[in-house]
Amino acid sequence: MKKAGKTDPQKLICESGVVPSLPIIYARINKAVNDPTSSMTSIGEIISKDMGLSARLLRMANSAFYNFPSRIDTISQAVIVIGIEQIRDLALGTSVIELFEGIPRHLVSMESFWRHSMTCGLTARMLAVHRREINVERYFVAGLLHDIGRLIIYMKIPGQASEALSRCKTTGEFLYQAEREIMGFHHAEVGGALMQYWKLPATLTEAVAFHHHPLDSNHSSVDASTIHVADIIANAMELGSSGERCIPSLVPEAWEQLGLSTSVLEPTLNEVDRQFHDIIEVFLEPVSKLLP
Amino acid sequence: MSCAVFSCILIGLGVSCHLSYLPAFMGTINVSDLQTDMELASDVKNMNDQLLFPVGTRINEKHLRTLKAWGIVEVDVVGVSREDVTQRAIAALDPEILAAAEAHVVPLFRYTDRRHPLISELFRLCVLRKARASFHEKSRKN
Repeated sequence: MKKAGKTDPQKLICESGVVPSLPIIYARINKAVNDPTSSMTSIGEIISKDMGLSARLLRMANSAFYNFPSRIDTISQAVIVIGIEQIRDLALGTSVIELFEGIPRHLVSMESFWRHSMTCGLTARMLAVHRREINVERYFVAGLLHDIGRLIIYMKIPGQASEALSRCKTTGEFLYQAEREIMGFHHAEVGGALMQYWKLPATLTEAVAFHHHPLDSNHSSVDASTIHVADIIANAMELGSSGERCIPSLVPEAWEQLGLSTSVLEPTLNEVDRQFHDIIEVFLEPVSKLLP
Repeated sequence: MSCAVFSCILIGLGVSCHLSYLPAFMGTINVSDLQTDMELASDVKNMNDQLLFPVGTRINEKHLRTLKAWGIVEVDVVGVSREDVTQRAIAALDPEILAAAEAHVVPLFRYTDRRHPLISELFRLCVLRKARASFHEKSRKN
């Protein structure tokens, strides 16, 4: 049964202690992307001022993630070949990972958490490629951030988080169900509240908030359905974990909504396996190791 | 039989190719399963719809490199189906390794309906993937 009246996801984000703010660089890039007068060069210049972000984006542009035939040497080149909105979304992904440090280690291995998140992001991106989506990086970032609510839960209410984890160990139930029973909400709702707090687009907020119940999403059910399916595949691939011990149950309508054949699954898994190590290196290696 | 549509992926960009020719027996297989001397059962085109290799091409090492460079993941070949490739892959694996892989994967899927086509295919791929990983690990140790 729910423990009623304690808190809700919004209160958890807004009231209890400091939630990390998005780095100013992201706001600057976003403002420039939304300004019709800004050029690719000016966006490149904004990014180039952040050494760490530039190093990660350049490494990414030259990784198996893109497999471009020739080397990308400057951020301006990367902006041109990858795309402005896509670069902004990748910048969001790299910025967020650096925000979460100091999570109690007994609750979650951060490396395992991000490995699962990256797998979900890569899978969502490949599903979007098969769907012929224009901005596939949006799906990568939604997958990358889908479980971010769990990090907030681990930071803010570690006692209840620990209770949920031990309960799953004993009963074998899903962690997101145990969270709901113990806290009255689960990590996806907290993640959605965090996206709102950061004023990120509704499509991203809903993809994160509804990844376990994609049919409840209002604006972007395809986004939520993509992340729902990607999360199932990512859990099945066992490349890291954010706490779940088995594969979430599929909402069949979510898969139907994507309009894909099951034959995309094998190339998707192969691509994710191929890109995984490069992407882990791009995001999780210290910046000092990425600088030339 | 309706003309199938197969997809190939240029990394980061969706590309679709339509079959222009349908031989009596053909199958779509992954480029990773493609071997030299196999014969293409349909044209392979790039993202701009330009022909890379015509139907009837006998695959050689250079073709394999080119397909990889273009990020093409699937092609149609004469006389081989995906099922054949899977059967061969299974036959090539040690039955003990395969059984252990399945025993490992089953509990992961305990709360999701394996009768659903997506889950059933995911299950099959996960068992093979796990078996291949165990096989490679065993070979490395030996």
